Amino acid sequence: MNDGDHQPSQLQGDDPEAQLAGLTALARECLPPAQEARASADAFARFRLATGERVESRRRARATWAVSTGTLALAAVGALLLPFLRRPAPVALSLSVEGGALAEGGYVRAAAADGEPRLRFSDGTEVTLSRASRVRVAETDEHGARVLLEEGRARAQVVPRARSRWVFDAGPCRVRVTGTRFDMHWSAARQVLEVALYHGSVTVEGPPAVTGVSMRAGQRLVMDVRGGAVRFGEIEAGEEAGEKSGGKVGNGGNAEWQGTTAAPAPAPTLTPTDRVGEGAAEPVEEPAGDGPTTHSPGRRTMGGKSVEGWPARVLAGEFRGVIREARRRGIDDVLRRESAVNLMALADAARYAGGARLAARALTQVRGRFPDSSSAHRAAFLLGRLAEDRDDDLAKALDWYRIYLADSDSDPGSDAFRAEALGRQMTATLRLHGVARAQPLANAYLRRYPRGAYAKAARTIVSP
Amino acid sequence: MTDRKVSLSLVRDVEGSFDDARDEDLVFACLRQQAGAQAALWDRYYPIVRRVVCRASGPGREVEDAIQEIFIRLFRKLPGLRDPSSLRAFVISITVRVIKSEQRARWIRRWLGLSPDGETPDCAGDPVDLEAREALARFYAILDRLAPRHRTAFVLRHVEGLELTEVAAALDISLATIKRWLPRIARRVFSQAESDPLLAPYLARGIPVRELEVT
Repeated sequence: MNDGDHQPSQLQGDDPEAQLAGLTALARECLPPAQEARASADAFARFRLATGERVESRRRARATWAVSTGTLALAAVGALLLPFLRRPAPVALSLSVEGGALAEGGYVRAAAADGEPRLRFSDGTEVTLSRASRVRVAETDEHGARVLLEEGRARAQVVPRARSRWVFDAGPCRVRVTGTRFDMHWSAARQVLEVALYHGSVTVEGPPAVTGVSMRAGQRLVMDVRGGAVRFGEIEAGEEAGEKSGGKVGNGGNAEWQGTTAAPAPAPTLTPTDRVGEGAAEPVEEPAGDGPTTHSPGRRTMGGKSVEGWPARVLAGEFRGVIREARRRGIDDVLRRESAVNLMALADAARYAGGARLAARALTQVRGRFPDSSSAHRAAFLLGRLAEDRDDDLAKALDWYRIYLADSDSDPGSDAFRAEALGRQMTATLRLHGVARAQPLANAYLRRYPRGAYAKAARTIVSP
Repeated sequence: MTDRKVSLSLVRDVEGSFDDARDEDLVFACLRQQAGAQAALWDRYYPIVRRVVCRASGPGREVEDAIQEIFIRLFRKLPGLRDPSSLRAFVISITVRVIKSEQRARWIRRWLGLSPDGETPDCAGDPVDLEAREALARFYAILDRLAPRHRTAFVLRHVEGLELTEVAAALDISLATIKRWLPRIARRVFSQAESDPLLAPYLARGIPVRELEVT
């Protein structure tokens, strides 16, 4: 084979170049990020603006006036001025503070009276702060603002606009926003950022996820900078409504994540889909003797908020604590008696801590004991992932993906993993049975998710 | 000079859309400042330029400034292009020069300790698997340790999939040199990736990559 025929990144024996194929494929998969169809045209427009192309065309137009008729000249002037007439000169957003004042350095000071300071921007965006929050408006421009949450809690309602650019910084973390509604809390002491997203989408960046993680509406994210972990959970139904009825973002007494309602926080229904470095290297299949002595999962705090139950403890990062407690009570007993929600939390804790076997047992138990529940539905997908990623058992993984997708068909409202399940089913089928068997799945994927993460793979399979 | 006259005599005037125009016709139209020619050249090469810049720079980098710089240089140097049919190679070579200068600047900033990586992370794109994101970041952290020329050579060949001759031309080095470089660079990358527990699973999947390539 000559060099011209060499296929880069193709697996060939022990050749290091070939063995890097998986990584180079990953780079091709993820880079560049997906882009809108009009991105090229938009980029060219920005390029022309940046390089003064408009100035050049205006100069040429002026030269034309000298030799053209008065009518043409007027038309040229009109054409030239139209964009400027249509678009006023950019003006930075203005800002007023209700229930407080803007102090030197952009710091927001709460007024002496009760009430929470509220930042009102001229585009309609509002940011409500707890009284003890320490917040600075670092800069504003015509597209948005950069708000620094040095401590405490903020609730933002960003009005969606074309080319808007809103950034909320919290310690080393950053929340990028276009148009959305969310709460965020930053504890400088604990180095933990929590974001609850009610509407729209945001991207959160920080040391545990330097390239950013995207959130969808209904999710809660906990980014533990010190622990190097990112965890997802779901917002409890009515949680936002409950807080909105109070009209506040928290009493802020100790600048922790505190709701205005007196009742203890609900235990979030955890739906973690992925993880970033929660110390997964250490397996936890072996029993561990030490742990909490309480039978019922003890009261815990999450960002200062009192929470109970395994789901909340998993969300707070107590994977090993949950597993220890389950072992102390006896795994068999737990699997027989616990609720579906707690079993799913135990499975999540085990998955995050590297205990695939325990996770599989818990998920299987959920399937057996609660066959028609949404937890059982999700368990099918997770069992497929475990089979594929941990055991490399593609046949078993395919069985689970089929079950999950069949459940999704009968319950379209609970198909959060459908796209990934279809994609994984397609690639696993390709690996196990070849292109011919994978093609119908690829077609199905493309029909449903033409811009999905597996779309390129699907197109390759359809037209090899 | 004679060569240039010959090549220009072969080009055709393009009427209307440039969609099907040959590269040499597009270059000629740009040189004549024909309306829409620059936009057409941009549309044709923006995807590959963006792809190469993104893949060479790594995840989370701001690439728009680099892309603008590439096209500024391209349009400025276009009159000096001796063989308009080699426009693609010309674009890639300019792209590589800009990338290398950016990487050198980042290297210098990193060595001077001005910032950990010299850049502020950009907004992420699609919500892909978090483990994959982390693996990608670690993979590019390894590439960051390579000299800019070596890193660019590796990315062009193994990520972008360019032919060896194209890589050599883009880097302005001989084919023999690039053949010597690439296995050495790959060995170095492999040895570091092998010792990373998150990257190790990507090294020995035993699956033909063409079958698994995803967007």
